[in-house]
Amino acid sequence: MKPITIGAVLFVAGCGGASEATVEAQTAANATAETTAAIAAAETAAPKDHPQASLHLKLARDQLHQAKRLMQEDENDKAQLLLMRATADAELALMLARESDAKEKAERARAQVDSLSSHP
Amino acid sequence: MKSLRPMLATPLFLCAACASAPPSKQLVDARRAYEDARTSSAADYRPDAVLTAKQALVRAERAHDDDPGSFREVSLAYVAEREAQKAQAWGEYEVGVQAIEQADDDYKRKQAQMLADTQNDKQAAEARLETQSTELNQERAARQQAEQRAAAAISSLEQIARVKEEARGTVITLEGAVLFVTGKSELAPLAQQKLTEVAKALNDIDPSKRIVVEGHTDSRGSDEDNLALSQRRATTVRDYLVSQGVAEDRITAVGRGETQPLASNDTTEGRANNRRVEIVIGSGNADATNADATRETTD
Repeated sequence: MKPITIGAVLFVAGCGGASEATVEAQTAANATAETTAAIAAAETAAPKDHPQASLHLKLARDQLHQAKRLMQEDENDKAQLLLMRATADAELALMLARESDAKEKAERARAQVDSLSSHP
Repeated sequence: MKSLRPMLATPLFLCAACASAPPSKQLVDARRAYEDARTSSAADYRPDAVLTAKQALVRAERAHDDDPGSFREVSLAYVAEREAQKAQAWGEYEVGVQAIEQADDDYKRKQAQMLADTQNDKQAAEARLETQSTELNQERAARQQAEQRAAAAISSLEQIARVKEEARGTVITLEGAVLFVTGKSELAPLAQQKLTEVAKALNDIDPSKRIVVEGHTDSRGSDEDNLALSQRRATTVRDYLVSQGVAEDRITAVGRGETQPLASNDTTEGRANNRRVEIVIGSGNADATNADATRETTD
C-alpha cells in the first residue's frame, strides 16, 4: 500500500507542478496579447508628431520586446511586470493623443463661433 | 462617478511612514503624479480613473513594504505613475469634449439668432416699403384731387371773369363797372354774388398761394385821386373776400391808379377796360412773397 501511496502523492504533485507552469505560460500569453492590442490601439490613434505619445509608445514597444525575451528565458514574473509597464505606457500614449485631439477640436469649434459673431 | 471622490481623498501613506527603507525614486514620482491627478480636472470628470490610479499606487506601496527597492516595487510604481498621468489626461480630454459641445451649442444658437435677425430686418424693410408706398399713393391721390379742384375752380371762374396765365401768376380780371358804381368804392349789388364765387374758387385753387388784389382806374381825374380810389376799391374787394373765407394773411390789396392801362384811355371802350380789379394768384407760396406784398400795401 505504501509505495502506491507515495507514487500517487508524487503523481499528484507532479501534475500540480505541470499545470501551474501551464497557467503561468497561459497568463503570460494573455498579457502579451493584451499589451500588443494596447500598443496597436495607441499606434492607430496617436499622431506621429505628438512627442509625448511617441515617447510612451516607444517605451511600450521596447518593454514588450524585453518581456518576450524574458519569457523565452522562463523569467515569467519579471516578464509579467514588464508587460504591465508596457500596457500602462501604451494606454497613456492613447489617452495623451485623445486629449490633444479633443483640445484641438475644441479650439477650432470656438474659432468657428467667434468667426460667426464677427460677421453680424 | 461623483460618489467616488471622497474615497480619493483618504490618506494613502500611513504605511509608507512606518516603512524603514526609503522609497524608490519611481515610487516618489508615482506619489507625486497621483497627487497631481487627484487635484486635476480628472477628479471632477473621471473620478473612476483617479481611483484606478490610487489602487495602482496602493499596490506599489505594498510592494515597497514587502520588498523595498525590488523590481516589483519599481515596476508597480512605474505603472502607478502612468495610471495617474492617464487619469489626468482623461480629465483634460473630457474638458475638451465639453468645450466642443459648448461651442457647438453656441454656434447653433448664434446661427439661429442671426437668421432671426435677418428675417426681422427683412420684415421691417417690407413694412417700411409698404408704408412708403401707401403714403406715396395717398399723396398722389391728394395731388390729383387738388388739381381737379383747381381746374374746376378755374373753369367756374371763367364763367364770371377773364382768367389769364401770366408770368406773375393766374390773373383774374373783374370789370370795374360790374363791381362798383362810378367814382365809388362800395360794392355794387351784383358784385357780392360774383365775389362770393371768386372767394370759393380762390380757396379751391391752392390755399397756400399768395393773392394780391390790384385796383386800376382809367386816366380821367387826377393821379392822386385815381391812386386813392384804386387803393380803396382793392381794399374793399380784399375785405369782402376775407369775409368769404379767404385767409387774411395770404391776401393783400394794392392800388395802381391809372399807371397800368390795358387799352387806350381815348375811347370809352378802352377806358372801361382799364377800370378793373385784378386778382393775382401768385406762383410762389404765401411765405415767400409775404415781404414783397407787405411793402406794396404800405406804399
